[in-house]
Amino acid sequence: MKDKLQMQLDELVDNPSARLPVCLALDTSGSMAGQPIAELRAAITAFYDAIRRDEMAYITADIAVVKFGGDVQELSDFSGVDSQPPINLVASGNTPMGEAVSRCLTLLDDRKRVLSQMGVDYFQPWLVLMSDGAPTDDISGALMQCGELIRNRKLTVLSIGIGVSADLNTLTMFSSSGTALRIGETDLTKFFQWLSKSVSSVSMSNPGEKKSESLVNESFADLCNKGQSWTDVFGD
Amino acid sequence: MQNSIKTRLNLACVASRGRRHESSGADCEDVVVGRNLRKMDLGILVLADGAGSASHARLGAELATSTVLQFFQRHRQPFFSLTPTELQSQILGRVLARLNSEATTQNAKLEDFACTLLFAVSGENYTLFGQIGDGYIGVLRQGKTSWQLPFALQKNEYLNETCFVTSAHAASQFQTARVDSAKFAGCILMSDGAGESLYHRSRSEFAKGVGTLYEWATNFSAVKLKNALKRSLDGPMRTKTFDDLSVGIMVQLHDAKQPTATEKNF
Repeated sequence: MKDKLQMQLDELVDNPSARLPVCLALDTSGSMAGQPIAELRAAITAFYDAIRRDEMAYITADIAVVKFGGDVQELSDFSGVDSQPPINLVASGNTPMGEAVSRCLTLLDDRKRVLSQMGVDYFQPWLVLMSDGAPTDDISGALMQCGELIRNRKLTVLSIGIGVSADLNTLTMFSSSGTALRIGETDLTKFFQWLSKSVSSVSMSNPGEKKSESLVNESFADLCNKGQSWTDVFGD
Repeated sequence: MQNSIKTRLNLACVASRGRRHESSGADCEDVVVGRNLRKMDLGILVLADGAGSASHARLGAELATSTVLQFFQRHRQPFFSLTPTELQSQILGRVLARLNSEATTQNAKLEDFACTLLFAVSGENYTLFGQIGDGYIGVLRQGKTSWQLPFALQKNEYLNETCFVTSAHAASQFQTARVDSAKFAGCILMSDGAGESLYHRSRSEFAKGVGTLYEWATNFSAVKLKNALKRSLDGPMRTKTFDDLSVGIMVQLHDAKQPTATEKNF
């Protein structure tokens, strides 16, 4: 008869799963009214669904949502997808992008501190910046903050221009990959599908795998290059 | 036929492919090797965790572990008299030479073979420990029940940051320590994947299961120990992580307890 020695579950410890903080900064200015804001809402819902379908992404994604349209508001604090409130976006006002980015950086910093205090490991956080226009406030401070964090490998910024009026030059300045992706609003869902896969790929990277951040940047750059074919609806 | 040399040590080690690599069909990138060389009165454990981003991670881990194992086997006791810097230099130099050679052969880059490295080697007088990168080493002192780390964990801010043997700062991050073998009861080496269930990060303490492994190692043969370790890795420990898992355990036996360990590869 074979021996059956085996450790039992109660002899093992439970460490909390590592998290990937992802802050979505969404332009909800007046120009997003109508189909664009509806598409954005649908795309984010699809993003949450895609995260739920992927076990590894599901336990890793730590999402917060900030909107900037007229003012800057936190629509949801960092949590898993199941704790995210329904996305209710209303388009109005101007585009305070600088203030929004600064707010997101503060939130990300606070989140890292909280996770650290809770003894939860985390990956380098992401800021996903989406806008269909140009900033209407001073972005210089936010740009400096982002630049320093990116240089120190403490942040990945993915910049997305929605439609032909998006100020890609400004978005590119924020981007950690050195490029911004222009997409049509009908392609937002495709972008968020890519994003959920990227969350999964980072969550699947070995702890200790330094290249996951650069792989995401490279993948994002590829997406940007291919992205031109997504913008048929605007004729780009 | 077994010879009559008594063994001072008992050891076993096992690596198990994690759920992530199983689902993708990839190899296990953890490698752990052990030797209980009774005639030399030497016990050796070496563990390496290949970097997931490295294209030859598994091979890198195999080459690193076999190189370190050979170093300890061939140089027998003299390495115990080396200073920490000399030992680090000799080990890292040999590992990098081996990986560079393989990189040249395969027309690949050195970092394609990136891996972490942990080892423990126990001789008559001293037991040495070394580590580059993540993973955990636990050490138990004679007469004690709580396991301790031989040196402070190198903690980076982000999970996806660590040091590999191929990193530019590997030499400066190479940590070594030793204990008097008379005070040495046992040690355990584990990859970060195994650490998910055997080391509580926020409480900085080892799981109760480590004590169980120690009890098995002091009471059962190396073969039985290895089987039990494998069942534990493939069973409950596997449910705690997506990562590959590997564990090596080595204990010093009391005279009264002499499991039937044999001089072989574990």
